[in-house]
Amino acid sequence: MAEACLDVIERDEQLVAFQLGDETYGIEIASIQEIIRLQEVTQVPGKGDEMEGIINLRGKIVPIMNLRRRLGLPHGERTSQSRVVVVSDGECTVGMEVDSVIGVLKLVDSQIEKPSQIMSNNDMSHVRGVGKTDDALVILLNVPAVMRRDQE
Amino acid sequence: MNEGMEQFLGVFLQEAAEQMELLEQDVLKLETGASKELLQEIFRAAHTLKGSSRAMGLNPMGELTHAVEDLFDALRNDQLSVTPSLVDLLFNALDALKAMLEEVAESGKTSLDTVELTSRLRAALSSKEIVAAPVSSVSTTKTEKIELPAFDVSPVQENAIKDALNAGNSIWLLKLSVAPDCVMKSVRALMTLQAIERAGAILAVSPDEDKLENEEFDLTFTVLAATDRDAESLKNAVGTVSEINLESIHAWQNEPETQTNESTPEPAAAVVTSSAPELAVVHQDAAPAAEKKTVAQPQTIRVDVSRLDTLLNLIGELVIDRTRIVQLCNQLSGQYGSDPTFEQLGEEASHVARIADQLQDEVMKARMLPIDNVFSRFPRMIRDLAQKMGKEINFIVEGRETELDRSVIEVVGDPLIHMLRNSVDHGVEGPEEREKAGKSKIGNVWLRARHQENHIVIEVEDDGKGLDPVKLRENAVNKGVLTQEVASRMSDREAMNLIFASGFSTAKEVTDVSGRGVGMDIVRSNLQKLGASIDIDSQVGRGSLFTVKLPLTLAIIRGLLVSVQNAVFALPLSSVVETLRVLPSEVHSVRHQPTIVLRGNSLPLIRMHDLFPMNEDRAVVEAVVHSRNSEEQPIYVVVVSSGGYQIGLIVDTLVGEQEVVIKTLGKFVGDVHGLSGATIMGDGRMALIADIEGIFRMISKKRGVAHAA
Repeated sequence: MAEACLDVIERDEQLVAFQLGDETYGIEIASIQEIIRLQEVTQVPGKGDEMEGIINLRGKIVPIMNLRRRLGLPHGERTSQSRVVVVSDGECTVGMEVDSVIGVLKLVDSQIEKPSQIMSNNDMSHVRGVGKTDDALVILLNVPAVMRRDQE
Repeated sequence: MNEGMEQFLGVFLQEAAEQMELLEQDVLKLETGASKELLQEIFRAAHTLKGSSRAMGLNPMGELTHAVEDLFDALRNDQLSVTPSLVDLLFNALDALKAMLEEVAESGKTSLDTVELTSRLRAALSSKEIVAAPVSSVSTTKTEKIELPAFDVSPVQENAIKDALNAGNSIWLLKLSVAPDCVMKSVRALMTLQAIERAGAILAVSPDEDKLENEEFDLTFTVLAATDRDAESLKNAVGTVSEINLESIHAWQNEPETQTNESTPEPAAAVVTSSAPELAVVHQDAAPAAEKKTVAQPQTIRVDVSRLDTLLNLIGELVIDRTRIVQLCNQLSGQYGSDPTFEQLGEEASHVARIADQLQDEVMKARMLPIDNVFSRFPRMIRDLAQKMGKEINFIVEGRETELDRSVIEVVGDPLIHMLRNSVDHGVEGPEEREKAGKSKIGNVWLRARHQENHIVIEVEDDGKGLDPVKLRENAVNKGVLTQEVASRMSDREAMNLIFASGFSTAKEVTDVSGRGVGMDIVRSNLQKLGASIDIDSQVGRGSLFTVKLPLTLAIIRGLLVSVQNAVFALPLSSVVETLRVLPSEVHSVRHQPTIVLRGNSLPLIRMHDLFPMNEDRAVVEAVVHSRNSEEQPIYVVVVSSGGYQIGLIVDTLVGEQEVVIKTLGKFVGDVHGLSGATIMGDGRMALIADIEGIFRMISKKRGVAHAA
């Protein structure tokens, strides 16, 4: 009985949507620890371009990832709208620099499509789907894949 | 295992491990000479182990410990003398017990067959030659009757009472009862005994411990205990055990009539006869024997290690905040310096800072353990090793009481094992070879620990054949670690460091003792992870000395903060030798390597900026210093050392010295060459902690020279 009901009610998910360049991205709300303003980043020498550096988040050291570089997007300027989305997978905490945060979105399953159907970009491993809202397309990030460090 | 005992398994295993360690150490000491106290201690440890293993229902273990205990009893009563074969047998038994304990820890039971071993122990016992029956010089003075329940006092307990009196302890009779609804009477009773033992020594128990273990008693039992403290401490001890009531406590040595009835003092001896139900005590006043005072057991509680770890982490945060608050106050003082409220704030801030410092000290102390926790397992290892290799080795341990943080204790053991094995295997020669070299047949291996400033220094020394730089060079070339050209350029000291290179073994044959030449490689990398340094000093034919310098703790270090461009680096003070101000004209270029002459020695200079390039500016490492500093601006140089080498790091400015809390960069960032972590400074900014050993490795890699790293 209960299972039958579940089929009828569509699962929905809550996302935090943010802007990178002229694209809108989304990260499921559960994996986000907090969103902070950009602060002074301490560089860690010898690390690749995707690693911006580290910040002091209330006594904890949190690495900052340049999400634009990570996703292969062109370089962007920091503005007063720039934010750091701090995500955590329980083990690691990483801050992702984004251009601006739009807000919380609610998407139901039927609004989400597999990435390959719409985009044919080279690296799709970081994307787990595309959400369609009335006025925009939201690229849903595969957070574990983005956080995973490439083997150097 | 007995039912319902699972919950005590952890406690049992922990205590059993302690007793085992004690036994092992003592049996080793036994080999060099047996004293009454030592035998007494061994006997007690074996007895406790027997008691607890039986209480847990681990009967095979109980049997074995029982046999061991009997042997010790015979030794103690001079009915048996210590022979090497007996010690070997005892070690066999201890090994078997260890194996059993491991089994119990894994599966909760043991399946090991101990019949053969037990019968060998029994055989050893029956073959005893009675050396001398103990002569008890008992002279009766006064018989004093005390209302006591039935006491079955064995000669063992008799001795214990005698000893306690000699030591000037007071003796108390405790009547205890178990709550009627108590489910596990025996466990409560045994816990009570243990509690009392922490406050003093148990001389006699009625009914005896075996009966208590098997629940062969009603609700009451009686304990005769000696303590060098007062009755209150015994009461408190009993109070820690729930479901146990202290019915009464009587002092029987200090009772007034005892004192008044005393006759002339006579040789110390006291005998408790076993005439039940009244305990007849033949009691003599002992001649003051303060010199044999039993060691007072400090009052301790067991705390989960993770709690201490959390505490230290929190203190780390506090230390950061403390520094930050003090700095903020300094910044504000220009603005509000004259404001009385601000003055008060300043006072409060400095008070908080002081408290934070003390708190840090105390927590660090609470985490300190004597290094003996690590050292204690080595004598046995050396003994076994030496036996296997047919070498005779005198192992001397010094400074076992040196204390260091448990984080260090945990990790320092393995490197030391490798080093000691190396000394025994490769260092010390066989007896014939030693005699040929005009040395005594017995080789010496020293293990020393001591505090030195903010460090622990551990030395492993042997008087063996030493390291031969010539052979080391040859070996390295043959093994392809180095080219002939590099090898010939190498100093003797550098050559010695080759033993830390991977894939390098100086022993001609690979033995199962120190492995395949990976040992010292691992030693070095493990030590580096701890922020420790290792130095070698060796003379051919005379021996080798390995010196390990360890930080007191792995969590907080003192660092010299330096700025390089806009970044701040913390250099561990342990590796900093000195700081210099050098004029560019003093810098020479030696084969493209900027170098200065410092007190007659050349010192290569490395720009920190080149090691850790920031921004897009990936500067060329070979940058020549004086071309950049064309004006006569002095440059700051921090001289750091590692493995006997020194280099000068060129920095922009010196910021200051500060206690830094080490934080890892995290898994996401991963390992960064030359960095061991980061720390948060007083102003909230971050400093990167330089890993000096790592920097040396980076440099040697770049130059293509094996810095033996």
